[in-house]
Amino acid sequence: MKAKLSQSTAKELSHINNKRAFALIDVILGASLFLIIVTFTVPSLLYGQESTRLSGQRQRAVVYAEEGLEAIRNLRDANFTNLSVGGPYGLATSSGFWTLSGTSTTNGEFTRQILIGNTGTDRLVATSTVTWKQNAQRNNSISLSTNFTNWGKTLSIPIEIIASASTPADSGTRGGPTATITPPAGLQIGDVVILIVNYRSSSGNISVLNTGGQTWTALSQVGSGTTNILRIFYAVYNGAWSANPSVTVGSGSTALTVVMHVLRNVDPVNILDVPQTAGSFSAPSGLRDVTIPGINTITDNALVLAVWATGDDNTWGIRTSGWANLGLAQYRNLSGSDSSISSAYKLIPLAGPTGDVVNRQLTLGGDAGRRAILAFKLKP
Amino acid sequence: MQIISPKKYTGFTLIELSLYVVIMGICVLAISSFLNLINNAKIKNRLIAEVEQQGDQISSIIRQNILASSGINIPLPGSTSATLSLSFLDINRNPTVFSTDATGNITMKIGTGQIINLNNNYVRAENLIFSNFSQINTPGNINSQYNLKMNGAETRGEYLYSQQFNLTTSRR
Repeated sequence: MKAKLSQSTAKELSHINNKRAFALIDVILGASLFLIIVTFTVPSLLYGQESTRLSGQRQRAVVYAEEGLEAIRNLRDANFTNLSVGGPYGLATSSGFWTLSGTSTTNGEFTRQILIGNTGTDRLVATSTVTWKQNAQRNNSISLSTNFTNWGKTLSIPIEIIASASTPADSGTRGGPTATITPPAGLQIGDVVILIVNYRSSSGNISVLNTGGQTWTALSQVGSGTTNILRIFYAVYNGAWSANPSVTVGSGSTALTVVMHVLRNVDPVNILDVPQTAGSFSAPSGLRDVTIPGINTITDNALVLAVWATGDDNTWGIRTSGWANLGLAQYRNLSGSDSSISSAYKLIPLAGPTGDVVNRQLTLGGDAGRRAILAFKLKP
Repeated sequence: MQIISPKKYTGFTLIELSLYVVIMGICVLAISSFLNLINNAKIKNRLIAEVEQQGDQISSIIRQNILASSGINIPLPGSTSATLSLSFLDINRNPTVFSTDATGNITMKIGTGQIINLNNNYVRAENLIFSNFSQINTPGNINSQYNLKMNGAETRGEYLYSQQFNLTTSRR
């Protein structure tokens, strides 16, 4: 009996004990499950919230980058030259309108830099980069690019060569002290008329005797004390010649040659793009090449003119590709001791170095002489 | 009969009971603060989304109108204004005016039509300012700036979110 009772009690006891143990485990299990759920849910909730904020931040960064490009667009609309290749640039509105200023712009958490690259003539690419700190460890950035063109540019026709004339004609004779020239036909108001005068003497001052109703600008004379003297004049044609223009050396009867060239679409206000560089060259040996050192043009589409003048009736041949004769290859004057003038030109589409130009004394060569180089500016 | 009677095991002891109460208390506290956290996150999430999305939407409406306009009446170049007036070739749309009303809505009035609120009632705008940063002889450039925040007097953290929006558009 004792044993029986004790057995059943033990059974019952163990049953109760089992139940209680199960309940505790249940709680621990429940709590653990709950903890696991919380551990996974809370960060995802917080991350969801953070990602909404971050996407908004990114959106505002894009708008801020766009602002940079919109400002560049406005600067382009005002004047394409407002945009110079390079950077990074910042933007300022302190003067009431957009200007490039500094190297970056900061607005709150965002920093913006603009780079301007060259993609060709009258074409630019602007890149607006916005960087911001997403959090202490992570930097973010976005870049937007737009191509800008100078679509509003007024296209100007390049400088044209209209006509040339000379006194005397090539291989003619003409002695000083004066030489009158008949302008070529077809001149229009605004054309630029160039006079190249070569005087076969070691002294004398070349000047315009009869202006023909034009206003002449004289460039520096070169060659006093040598075999020949070179001087260049130019004027903007006003529409009518009151007389055929003439030049004089005062006194003297040696060979005096005047060559006239007419150019169109030259800027009538700032006629010269690069002022004259003139000097003497010594008698060339060997192939008798005479090199005129190149110059640097300042504006696009300038016409560079190079002139050789000697105290002998040389024939000339240009040796540098890209250059062509202005008028005839040479204008010889057989009066007394002879002389010759040769001129060459080149259109320089992009401002920069013209390069050296070589003209060869093909016949009767080996003569020292005078040289000049200058550039005419295209009408804007 | 030294065997303990099973009657003794019919109830819980005080210690057991207190243990249960404590455990239950912890559970309830944990669950309720978890629910509270979820709720706050939901509120904040919605608020951020409202502010960000509405700001984006208002900006794009202003932008579209500037791009479609034929000119800028107000503000004049180099000046700022709380109102943006755009001229249109379409007489029904001329002028289109952006502004704010007394309750803090960003409004748009197309021609002689009704005033339209660009934002909903969850958010309010403040410090709306338009600046004309155009260079001379250009189609025009407008910078629009405004802040959006939650509508209401709630000062609890989850109800506070304010964002500044900044938009610049060049007329083409």
